[in-house]
Amino acid sequence: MSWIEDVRAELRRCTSCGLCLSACPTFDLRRAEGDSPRGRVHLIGDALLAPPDRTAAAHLAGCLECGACHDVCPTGVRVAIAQRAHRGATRRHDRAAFDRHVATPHAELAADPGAGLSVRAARDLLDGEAPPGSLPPLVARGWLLPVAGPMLRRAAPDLVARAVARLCANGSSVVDDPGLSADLERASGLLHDLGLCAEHEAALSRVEAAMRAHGTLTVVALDASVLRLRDQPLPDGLRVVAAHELFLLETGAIPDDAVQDVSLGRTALPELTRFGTTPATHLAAAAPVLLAAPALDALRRLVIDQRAWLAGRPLITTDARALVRFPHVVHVTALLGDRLRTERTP
Amino acid sequence: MTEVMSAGATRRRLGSSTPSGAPEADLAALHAAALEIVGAARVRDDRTTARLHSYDASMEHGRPDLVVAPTDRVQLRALVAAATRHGVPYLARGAGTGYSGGALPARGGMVILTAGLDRILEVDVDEGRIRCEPGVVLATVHRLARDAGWLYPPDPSSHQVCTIGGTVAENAGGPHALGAGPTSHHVAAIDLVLPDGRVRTLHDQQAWDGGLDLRSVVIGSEGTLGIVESVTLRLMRGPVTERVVLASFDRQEDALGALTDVLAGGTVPSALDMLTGGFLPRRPDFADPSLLFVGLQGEPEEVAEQVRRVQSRTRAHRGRAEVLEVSAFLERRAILVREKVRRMVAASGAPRYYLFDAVAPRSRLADLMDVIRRAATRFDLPVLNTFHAGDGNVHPTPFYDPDDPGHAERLREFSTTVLRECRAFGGALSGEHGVGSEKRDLMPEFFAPRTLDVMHGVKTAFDPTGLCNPATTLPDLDAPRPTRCAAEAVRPPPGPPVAHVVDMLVEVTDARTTFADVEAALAGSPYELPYEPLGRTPDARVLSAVEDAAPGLRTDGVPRERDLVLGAVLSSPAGVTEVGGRVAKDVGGYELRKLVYGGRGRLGALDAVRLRLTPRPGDSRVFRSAPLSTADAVALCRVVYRAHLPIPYLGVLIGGNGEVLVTGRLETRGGSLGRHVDRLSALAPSARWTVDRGTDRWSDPVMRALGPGALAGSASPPWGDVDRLRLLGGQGAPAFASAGHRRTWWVGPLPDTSSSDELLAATIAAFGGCGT
Repeated sequence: MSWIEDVRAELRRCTSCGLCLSACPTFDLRRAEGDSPRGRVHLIGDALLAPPDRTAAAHLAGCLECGACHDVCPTGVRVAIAQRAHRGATRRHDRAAFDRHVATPHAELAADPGAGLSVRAARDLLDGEAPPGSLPPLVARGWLLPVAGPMLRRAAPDLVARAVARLCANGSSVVDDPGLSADLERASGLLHDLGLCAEHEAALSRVEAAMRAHGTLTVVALDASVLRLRDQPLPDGLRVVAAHELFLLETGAIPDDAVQDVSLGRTALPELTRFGTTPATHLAAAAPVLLAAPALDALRRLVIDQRAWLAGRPLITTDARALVRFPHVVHVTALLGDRLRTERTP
Repeated sequence: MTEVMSAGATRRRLGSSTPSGAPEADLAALHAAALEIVGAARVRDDRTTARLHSYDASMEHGRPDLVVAPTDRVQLRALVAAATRHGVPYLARGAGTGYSGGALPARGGMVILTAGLDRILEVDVDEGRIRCEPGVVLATVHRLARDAGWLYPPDPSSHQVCTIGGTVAENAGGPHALGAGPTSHHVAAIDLVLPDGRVRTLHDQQAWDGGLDLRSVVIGSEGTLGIVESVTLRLMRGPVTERVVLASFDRQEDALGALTDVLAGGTVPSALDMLTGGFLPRRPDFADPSLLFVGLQGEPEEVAEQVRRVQSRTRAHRGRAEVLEVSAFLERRAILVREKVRRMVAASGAPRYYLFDAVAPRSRLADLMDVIRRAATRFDLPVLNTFHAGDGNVHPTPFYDPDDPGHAERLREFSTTVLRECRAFGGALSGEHGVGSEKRDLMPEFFAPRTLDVMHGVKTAFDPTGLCNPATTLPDLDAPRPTRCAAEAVRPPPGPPVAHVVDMLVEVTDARTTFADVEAALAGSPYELPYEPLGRTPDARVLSAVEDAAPGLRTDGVPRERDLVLGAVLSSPAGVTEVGGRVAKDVGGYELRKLVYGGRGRLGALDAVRLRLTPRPGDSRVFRSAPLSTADAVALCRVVYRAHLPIPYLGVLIGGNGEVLVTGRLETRGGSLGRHVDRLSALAPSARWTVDRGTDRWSDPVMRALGPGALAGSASPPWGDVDRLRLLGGQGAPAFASAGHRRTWWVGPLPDTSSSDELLAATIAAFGGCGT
């Protein structure tokens, strides 16, 4: 399907019931219809017919694309997917345009270290070595491919190195395919978020080609940003699993007053749920890099609220950006043990 | 609308026609006034903002000329006054989650957003009251009430985001309306902004002060009678125990059979929802189970007994039952509903659904389900139905393809077919969604011309300019009368009272019918009429008690007196007027039925009334303390009231001999009250309680003490009225300070308030009754 058809497929399911409003962090902040998922569905629909005016563009640009509204929607409208598809249809940057674009919301980027980290990570992807033209030799014909994501590699390179070493030590058939890892990171959505659609699509094509050699493979996502691969049209045989869902965790050293932004299985920590008891959510985990000032401003305010809510308590996170946003943060990668939760076969 | 809009970004559309048809100069003048009142950042007239406030959860549309976001009530009043001054239509909008188009500007004009009016003005933990502005989110009220040990029952599906103002406008219900009633049961008072910007307070005590309960008409009027600027909510005691029985049936008919058996057996759950199996007209092989969600709240003994009954009825109808904690149930329900909807989308290929509501008496629910399936077949629409079965309030949900060019017409024909059958069954046009613009054209089919005239008269009484949310709810006065039109009501022939057990109502059509007659008609039934007018006897006449606004003895655990009125027939020289009907959930048009409580002949002679029934308690005991000083009695009353015992009434009684004591009852609909009697004794051992078994409430001390005759009163809870109680005691006047009524009653004449009240007089005139 084309991008436009992707957008339409989402929008035509919306009944305008408004149940999504309570799940949306930007509606929670502003209580304005234009800053709600339902409002954005209507505005995207209008934008398919005519370019949005300034007001509509600002509302659309304020979406964090966190996907918090997806689960509550009775008919399964995915506003984040519609937003991305719409962006794919309407905005295609090259590298120069990206650099100009990054310069515009400079103040907002500076105000949120997490957003700054995202942009640096995107540059890493763009500036990295060119993907090889042909497949590299496989070091081991395994079934697990750890992928850290550019943000976690930026924020905690030592942590990534230790985790990968530990997973390899387990002997659980870990694949070493740097080219495929790099392409998976490029295809995870970050470049597409930035309007670099050609780079994104090229990476997807290379992933598809690489998978012909691998057959089946499980991507072990060390960071939440890599989990966004699940939203991409991946080839058959490639599945994406969060590392903490696959490997047992060593949680003994976690303080009793810690909170977590993801359910870590058997740990008895209080869960930092999206809208349960928290004044702000840790929604940024799933949100992409956004260069629009309204979204960056919303993120900044949510981060401030969340920092206040945390009140210095340790946070166990799956989001690399939290490492630079909050004090006393432990990325779940640091807790990974070397044993699988259950024995799995390819 | 928190973002600031620069002056340059404000694009005026003057020079073009306005959606309202209002003269452009008037609209421009209102725009200028709004800028003065709320500032440029909170006034919008651009295309996108208009678009974003032109829809709600229905399929209706209405485009505003101006969208204004006040931040306080002073601004709200000024905006309303300015709109009236300049002749521009206006209405209030909360979260836009309504299902009727009730908050859409059918004729353009100014939409006033209430999101900035979101202050909690008062939380009275002692007495269970919250006063707040209309933009407060319902979930916030739920949380505040729960944190203080209370319960605010209305729970529409949009409760996480909808506003209190919206729930008042639509008289919102939800699953727990079955046990606790819709919003109107839980609003004590409203501050209403009238067209000239003045504020009128309407409260539930006014029917007892010689007025009418005008508050009840405003609730559910879809914002057409004025804009609510604050609301005082009555909270209920939070349940001690809560469980949900999730029952699954292979056949829809079995689910309906179990439901009917549960109700006929005298069990009225706090919520009884149903999710039918999906029905695909072209797929007879599509098998999908039907589910019942039975919510049970109360004391542990009550809930345990009700769980057993529901399980038994489920098994008897070939169903499977699970008992769940509420939190687990809510998770399950969300998943079940979502999966069912997505399965329907996948199976039918129709990606979107349309949801509307209709009501039939419970006893006709099976017939209505047949009607829905036949209509679905006729119009070739896959249909689900997730609805409040205990209230007969269905939500047929046909699935359709928005790209199908004929879809809107087909859906309208489908819904009209179902609604007309509901009318034939004795149901209502809407149970909780309202009429709005969606069902406005069907009003003449559901209401006789005379009743519609009264509604128009009420509208004019409140809104003489007709600018407050026009073209909503009521059909235009000058609209041609449709070919299908409800017949004028006729005076029912007098006869003995008739009880309808499954529909939980009794019909009284004879002015001579007494409460004893009603009880005789209900003999052997698990239901009773929960109304014993204070100071009267079983020989008292039912219609007289309703007309006099005689306060009921019981104030908690059963609906209030006025909330028992499902429908009534009034006759006057102007003609015969039927108000309400025979179902509890009815938000079709203005809720006129509660006005007959305290009508006192002014609206016409009350010829007939249908009253709601409730299950009889299994154990009931009256208690009274030893004589106490007034101060000690008041203090004791407060302690008992706050103990959250299953008490249907409680108060301080001053006998004719000046003796002061605390008296009330304990009642349960499952198990014994022994435990609660012990708790009562432990609360205040020195009170030397006397506790007697028996359900003859007519012989309770307070009934004997007050005696026949009109009751005067003053609004205050016992603990706020000590001086008056001392005075009454000193005068040797029997009096009862009722905690549930928040009022002290004594034998005496009513004040005459009608002559000085223009709104009251205009409302009475709307009925063409006997005047003041």
